Amino acid sequence: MIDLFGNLQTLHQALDYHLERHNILASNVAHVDTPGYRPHDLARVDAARFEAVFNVALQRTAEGHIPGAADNSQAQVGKVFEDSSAGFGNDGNAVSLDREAAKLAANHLRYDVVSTIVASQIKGLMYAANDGRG
Amino acid sequence: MLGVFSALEVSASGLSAERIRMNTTASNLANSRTTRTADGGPFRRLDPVFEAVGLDRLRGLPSMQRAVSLVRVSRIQEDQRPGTMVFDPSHPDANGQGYVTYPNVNAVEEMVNMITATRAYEAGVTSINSIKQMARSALEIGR
Repeated sequence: MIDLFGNLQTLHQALDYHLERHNILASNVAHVDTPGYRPHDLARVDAARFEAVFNVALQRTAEGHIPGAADNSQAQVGKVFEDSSAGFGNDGNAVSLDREAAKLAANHLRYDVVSTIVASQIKGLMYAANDGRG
Repeated sequence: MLGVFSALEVSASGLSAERIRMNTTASNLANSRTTRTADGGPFRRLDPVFEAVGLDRLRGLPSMQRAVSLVRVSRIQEDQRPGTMVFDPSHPDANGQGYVTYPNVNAVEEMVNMITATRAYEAGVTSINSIKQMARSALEIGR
């Protein structure tokens, strides 16, 4: 059987990733004046590795362990890393406001692109479901 | 799980921290010639100190907890630099030698602080607008 929504699963992960990244970037912007704050970013875990991350989380290392259930809330769509490449200020803060603003804008645009693709895919399914009448 | 509302919460905490900074800057400027305070002596300029507080909801996701945190004003610190001494024997707060100690407020420094607070606030507003538009485009999927 053809999986109608198989494609959407990947796009769903992409939306999750961009939303999560927005949280991290918003936190960086909010901490532009916090002494000693190091900005973070989220690196995308690609689809193949995403599966691997997910499987590792469920693997048991000893027989006595209770087998874990698949829990989507614990699945990671990305890997957090520290990005202090902009250099430190006198207060030990490494947030560069313009860099974070640019990342936010780019992240927003990418989110919009993915959501447009999702919308058009669903519209396509809708068209098929309505016998091509709408 | 991080979502639309946690991003709003984090940005809002940044906005309120910057607003507190704006308030202390305004107070420093307004009191730049105040020679009497409740504690005695001239006014001392104040500085808010910000700190990062992890989002409670993110417990169980240690790496995320480190990456996303709220801003909190941990304390308002008094600047301990000495104030400027001005010779004015007629002033009621002049000391034995006729010198008045004015607050250690530097108008230029306060203006710079004010501008950076304004810019940081604007950046926070941009990030809030961005998450709002993202939520709206996510809602468009269902149309």
